[in-house]
Amino acid sequence: MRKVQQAGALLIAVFLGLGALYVGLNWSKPNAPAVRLEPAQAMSSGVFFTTRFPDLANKSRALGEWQGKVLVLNFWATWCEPCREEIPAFVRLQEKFGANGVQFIGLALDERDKADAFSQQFKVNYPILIGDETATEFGRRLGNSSGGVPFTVVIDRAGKIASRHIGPVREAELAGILGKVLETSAKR
Amino acid sequence: MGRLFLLLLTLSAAAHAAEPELLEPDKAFRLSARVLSDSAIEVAYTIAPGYYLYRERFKFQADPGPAALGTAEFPPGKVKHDEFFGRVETYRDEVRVRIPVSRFENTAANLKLKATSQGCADIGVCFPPNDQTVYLKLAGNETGTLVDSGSDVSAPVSLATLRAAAPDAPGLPDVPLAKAPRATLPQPESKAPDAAVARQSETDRISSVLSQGRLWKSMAWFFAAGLLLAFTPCVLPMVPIISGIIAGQGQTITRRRGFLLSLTYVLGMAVTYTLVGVAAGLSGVLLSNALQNPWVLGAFALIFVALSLAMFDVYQLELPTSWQAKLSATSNRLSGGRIAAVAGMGVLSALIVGPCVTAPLAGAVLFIAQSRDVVLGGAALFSLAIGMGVPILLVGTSAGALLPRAGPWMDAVKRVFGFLLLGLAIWLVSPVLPTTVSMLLWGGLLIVAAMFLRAIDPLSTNASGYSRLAKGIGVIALVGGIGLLVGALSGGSDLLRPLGGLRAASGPDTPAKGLKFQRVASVEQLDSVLKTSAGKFVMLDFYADWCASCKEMEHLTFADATVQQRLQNVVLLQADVTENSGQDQALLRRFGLLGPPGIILFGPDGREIQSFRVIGYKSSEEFLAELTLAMGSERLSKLD
Repeated sequence: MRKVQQAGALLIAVFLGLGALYVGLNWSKPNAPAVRLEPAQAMSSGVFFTTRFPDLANKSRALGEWQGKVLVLNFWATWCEPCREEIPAFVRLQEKFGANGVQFIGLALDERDKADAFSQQFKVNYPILIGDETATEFGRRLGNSSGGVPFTVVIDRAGKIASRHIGPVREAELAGILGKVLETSAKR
Repeated sequence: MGRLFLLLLTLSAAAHAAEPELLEPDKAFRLSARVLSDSAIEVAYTIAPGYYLYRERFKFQADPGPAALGTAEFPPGKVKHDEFFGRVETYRDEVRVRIPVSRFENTAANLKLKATSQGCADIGVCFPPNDQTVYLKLAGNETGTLVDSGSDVSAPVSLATLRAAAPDAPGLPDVPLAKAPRATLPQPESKAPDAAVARQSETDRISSVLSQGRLWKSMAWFFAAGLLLAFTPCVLPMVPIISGIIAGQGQTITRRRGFLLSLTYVLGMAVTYTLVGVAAGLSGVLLSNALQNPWVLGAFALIFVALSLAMFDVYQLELPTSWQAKLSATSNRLSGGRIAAVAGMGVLSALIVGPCVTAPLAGAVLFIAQSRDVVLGGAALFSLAIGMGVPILLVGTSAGALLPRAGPWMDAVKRVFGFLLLGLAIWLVSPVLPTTVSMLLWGGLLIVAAMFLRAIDPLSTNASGYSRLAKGIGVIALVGGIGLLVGALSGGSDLLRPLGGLRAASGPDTPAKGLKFQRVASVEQLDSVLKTSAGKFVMLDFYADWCASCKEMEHLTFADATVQQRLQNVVLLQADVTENSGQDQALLRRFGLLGPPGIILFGPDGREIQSFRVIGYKSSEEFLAELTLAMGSERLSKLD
């Protein structure tokens, strides 16, 4: 029995050691983009909702069109691999939460035809707007000082920023955030 | 995938402690340039670790000047398959690009070079095409000078660059928030990606998964798990028997033949496992929506817990004996010694899963289903099978010389799998659980693991080094577990810094506990203080003894050293409205407040900063963000 316990202890110890090694190896693992964001600059929800970008049909759309919904504004581009990878998850979440008043908006820092081709290929079920350099500045005002994409901002029904992410968002995490935002705004 | 281990080990408390800061593209990709000869220049990018640039997306342009650029010559980069663009090349660390230059005139000339580059960071963030400008002097062979590099795609430049570029504007104050002061610079036209859109093909996708390295890591971990499974009490004792059957009755075979036969058997087994893995991945794809549902996740976690109990011998989990009998009968009909027959035996053997393998295997299958990755699923279970097959290979080749003796220590291996499955269960539900609950669960698991390591059992004086080491690590696990429990119970919500909440509240390095507020009791008093503190920010905090969130602010947010530092030059006022007197009400009314809590900020001009209103509890981070925002925008608007 003593031997059993010793061996058990040893094996668990080995496991702990392996774990430590693994943690070390993954210290800067790409899955954990806990990048610091600047605080969002003073941008009243008025400014936010009057901001306009053209859509895939080159029609100018104001963000105010979706005011009152829980908005997920995703800055992306076809030249950005991590952006493309997370879009199928957005499509799924849009489908899942759309009826509850969640609206995803893709703001592509890209050319219209490329964004269009991508959107068709991946059956994107939410509006895609085309942003030029003003979109990058818009992102900066929302706190993304590096201008990197993907950058995803969740705006609650009251027009306040509920959550921001630079880099890919885990589907389950975003689903959790949306659930929480929907719940708190339903209470009001 | 590897998180499975990370989480079992519950060392996650140490992980990801460092928050990487995303560099701005100008800093991540530093541009320099020099003149190589009369007819060529060299543009070099120094790339920060963890960042890379795309070869196809460079663009160089001589701004109208007496020179024309030839075709840039790039060194070969690292080839990567991109599912949208096809084959792409990337550069890390450094890239030097040679660009031929032809001059229109024979005079010395300045060359203004606009270099566009585009790259990404490994953490999963890409930057928009970034324009940088360098000036080179094309005079003979001398090295050109770098005048300015900076100005990115969307106008704003850092203050430092602005200062360097415009030394005649020295009076710019430091604006903490103003990474992007509203300087108006010519807006460069946005650069479009040039690469052709390539159709995505399945092979491209597979190779892109393969190239990510994630797959290799998962395979390595599954291989290790397989190896460990081979040392459980219902696998290892069987190995010599299996080896005997594989070799065939009464034959002496060469070492090479023995290895070949064992390998065939193991590969046969691996085929079945791979199919199971692919099926798991596929079912995960089909169930992808359901798998994000908290209830489904919860059910999965419960299954894991149930499976783990099998590993602690609470009950036995195995296929019905009738199935097992049928399978072994079929397998027995195949005679050993022949390659084809041995392969068939391998395929069938995988279906006869022993009681210690069932639970971990079911766990692996569920885990793969959750990852929703078919390629990964197949590869992972293939590796698991190969890992499990290692002892068979060893025995088949060396006739048992290389194998550890079977013994009761194998039960410990089983228990390790029990912990693994419990950790997996917590990991699975943690996204949908409050952090406090996850902390409690992890803490509990760590403490139980510590008990298995005999963390508090006394050591005998002649204890071996192993048991001392195990005890030491057990104590570490115990302390970690207790830390998590204490943290969770004291309202901490950071898995990585479970006691962070305690540190903010006490600790020797906070000189003054809380902030020193000056009391104001009436509107008149407030006005007079505002008048005397012109030129300074003033913060007014409404407080009452009965106000819970005011106390929380006081004990947590205002006790934070960073908050205290940020408020150092701010005049701090507090209105205690506990009594709700007429004067108290007048003060509240002035700000449209019905009662505490409420924090109002006044600018240096004595006027309220309307955008700032803290009502209710704010954590120190949130509070600082609001404060920085308000004070920053106030200063910015003064600049305009």
